[in-house]
Amino acid sequence: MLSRKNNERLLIPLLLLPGVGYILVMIVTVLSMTVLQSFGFYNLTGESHFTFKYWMQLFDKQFVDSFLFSAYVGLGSSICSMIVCYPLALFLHAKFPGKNVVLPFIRIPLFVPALVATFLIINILDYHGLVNEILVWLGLIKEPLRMRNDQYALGVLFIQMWKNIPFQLVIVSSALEGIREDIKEAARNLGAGSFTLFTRIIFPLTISSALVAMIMVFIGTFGDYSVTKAAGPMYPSSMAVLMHTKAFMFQEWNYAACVGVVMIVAVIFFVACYTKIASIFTKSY
Amino acid sequence: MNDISIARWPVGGRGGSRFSIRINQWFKLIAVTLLFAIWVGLPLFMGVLWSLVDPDHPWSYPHLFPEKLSFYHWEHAFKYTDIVPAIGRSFFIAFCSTLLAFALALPTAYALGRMSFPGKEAIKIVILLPIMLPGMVVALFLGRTFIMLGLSQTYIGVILGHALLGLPYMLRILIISFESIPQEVVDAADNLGAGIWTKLKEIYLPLIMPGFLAGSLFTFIASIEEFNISFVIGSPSIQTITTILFSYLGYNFVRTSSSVISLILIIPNLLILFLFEKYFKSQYMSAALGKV
Amino acid sequence: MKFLNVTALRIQNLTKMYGETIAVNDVTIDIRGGEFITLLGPSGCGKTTILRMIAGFIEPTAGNIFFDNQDITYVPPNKRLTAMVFQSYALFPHMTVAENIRFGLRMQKIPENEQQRRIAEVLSMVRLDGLEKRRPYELSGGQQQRVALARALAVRPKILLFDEPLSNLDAKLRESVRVEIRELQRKLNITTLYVTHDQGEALAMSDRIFIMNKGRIEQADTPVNIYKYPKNRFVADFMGTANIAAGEVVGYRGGIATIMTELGLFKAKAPGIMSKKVSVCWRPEDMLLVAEGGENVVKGKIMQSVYMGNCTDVFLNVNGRTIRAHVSKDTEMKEGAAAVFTVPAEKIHVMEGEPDAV
Repeated sequence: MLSRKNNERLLIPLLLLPGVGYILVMIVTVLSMTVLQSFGFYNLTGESHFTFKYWMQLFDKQFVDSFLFSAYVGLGSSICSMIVCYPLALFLHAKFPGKNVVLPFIRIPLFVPALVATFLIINILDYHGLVNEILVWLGLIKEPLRMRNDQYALGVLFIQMWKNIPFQLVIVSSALEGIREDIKEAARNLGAGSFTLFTRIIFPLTISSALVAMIMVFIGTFGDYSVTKAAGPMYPSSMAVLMHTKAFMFQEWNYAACVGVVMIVAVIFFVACYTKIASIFTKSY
Repeated sequence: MNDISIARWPVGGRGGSRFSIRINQWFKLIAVTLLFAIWVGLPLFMGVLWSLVDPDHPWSYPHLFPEKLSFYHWEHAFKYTDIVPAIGRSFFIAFCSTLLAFALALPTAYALGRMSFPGKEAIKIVILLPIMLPGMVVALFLGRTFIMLGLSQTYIGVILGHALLGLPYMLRILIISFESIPQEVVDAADNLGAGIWTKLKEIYLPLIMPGFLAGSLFTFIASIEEFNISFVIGSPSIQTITTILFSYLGYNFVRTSSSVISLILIIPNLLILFLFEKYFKSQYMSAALGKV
Repeated sequence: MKFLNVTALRIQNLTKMYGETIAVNDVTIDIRGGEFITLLGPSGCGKTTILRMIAGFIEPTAGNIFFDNQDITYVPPNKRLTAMVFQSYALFPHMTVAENIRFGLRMQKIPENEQQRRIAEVLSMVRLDGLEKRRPYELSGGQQQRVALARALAVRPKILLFDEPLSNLDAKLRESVRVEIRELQRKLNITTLYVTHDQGEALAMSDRIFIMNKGRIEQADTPVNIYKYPKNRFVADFMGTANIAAGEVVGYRGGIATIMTELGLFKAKAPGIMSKKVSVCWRPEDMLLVAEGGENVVKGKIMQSVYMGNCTDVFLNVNGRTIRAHVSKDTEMKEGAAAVFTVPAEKIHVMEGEPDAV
């Protein structure tokens, strides 16, 4: 008689299976393939056996440089984007005429594929690009600046910011919209000025969303292949480029697998750091 | 910072008269429009210009603008390159992977959105894994597995990969849609005699429709602009628009051809953005993109 | 339209536990066909849980529910033929008014032309003719509420269920809608269970009121009896303002008891009183302002007097206890002055036992 509850209990795993099962099978396959190959299993050619050999050989100068470079691009992009995004979100939050018409246009970069963004920005930043020509014309610089394939990856940072600021804007803006008007009015009513309103109400209620937006940008830019390959320096290459080159150009799959494992661990580490920062911020209020 | 509040509390030493508030608001509109024009408009405009450069009158330093415009490169791209079939391929792959992602996500999103069971929050984190892991790692070692299974260099392989990357967006948006249906509405259907199929067909599906559209658009766009999986698993047998563009950008940078392909790649996305603007409600956007 | 087959509802030893907490504790209710019953109580008393068990949304932990002697305890909700009017109205947002009403009819496989006829019939019943093609969001709250009612009536349910249906309407509308609902229910002669926390609504609409507290039924009776003869302090307090004093019976003659209380000596009608420990209870509107005392005198200092429009609500301090009295709105009551009231013996209700410490 009391069967409805039990039926439901049997139903849940069945319903979860397609979505969660698919993701788990694929991801577990990827993870185990990466880890096992880094220890010498599943070789396409030659024999497969357990070995630390590839890990011992991994940490040369090229690898360390790549790691530092990817971390630099990842942290740089996520932090610089947020430095622009947050004030912009506050600025756009207040009502002004024509807001609903203008906002979708600002979202455009979100819908521009990363490679196209790369092309569009390279156009502007190139040796004879618009920015350089204007700067030379204004007499601010004598020689055009090198911003594509440059040592400091300024071009890459700029492309990532162009693409990711609107992305962060969506997340931070929705957090701002999520603050109920009456809460702000209550704070005003209790005597908070604009500054206090921001530091005590708005900032604490949006900081976790801002950090999430930064995490998402970090993950994307730290593991980026195409933008760095097209607009980044020749050396060092990003981790993803290094990994792909080793696997496809030199058939060194085991080395590539080691790089992959380091990338995954690094992402987990950095996400943990951001989460820690978020919890410190939320606790202190 | 908030002009409305200034208007409501005119006293308080901030000295904003109604008139200056209106000026302030128009100033904001102008500032935002200028910002947009430089930030988004200028790169797009330059891209368009580059695609219209006449081959006989090269655009080079110190000319600020090309001397003569022509459609030569557009014609060339459509006539002599792989771009038209690549567009077809990209759209076919995006369509199939969106369909697959929806089919896989629907039952799971129902369970996660409307039922309660232990471990639910953990599962909501697990479904984010495909977009949390570095894209190239997933592409490379999924590709490595697909080589063993004979799925590498096949449409099925690319579609399976793209569906994997689209699933988190689809799932999260559908979960939000299912969650936002009030329990009383479902109870009312029950109460009026609806069985499980009627409820699915006449209550749940129509009410998650906006979420389904938003999720599909996200998955579709994610697939069209996806590079890593297309590159590792698809190319060189299956060239999509992103891998073609990469070949122009990476190995031998041909600015004029790249600009044509870039613009072709943007157009469907922008069409989707403006035609379906109302479905990109901020709740779906933030559900898909943030709030881990 | 008249419902010829009126259904009686019986709830037997119904219990619902959520883990360790008891939401509904061994409740038995018998409802005649065509009766309008109100479950009244504070939030969390279990009234909505009972309603949802009758509709079939929740399975009881123990006990049974019968429609006309037919056990439907484990029948799924879509096979019960109850119709519920929800607190949020729960109109299907993607359907028009007509489609909302048609939904239940289609589920019953009622022929097309009969569907049309019934939609027109219920819409005119709730006075919404001509709004068939509107969508819920195009209607006012009151109109949505009536669509919800029409949708429930259209299926000609065995039992009509209301879950605080008026709580989202403004006060003025609430009073007119409750009269309409009651009129319709009388006309259709349909067995109705109505859940509310508003005692005014319960008094105005019900054949019988079941007052609930902490998962149990405290008292079940007609509105008049519940108001006049509350069984205990909880019921007395919940049905409006009540003055209550504990006391002891010191004399009893001819159905009139003399009771010594902390406020003084009271004489009251108490036929068949058994115990010595009792409480006396009377309503503020039964207190009469007098110049000089007589029987059942309450003497005190006026702490506060609140003008209510239709009367003045006076808070008296009597031996450190607060006693409420309603006097005519034109009487001036000075705060700080002394005042003397009497209570007619027939207006004092004697409850057996000490008043519960509620």
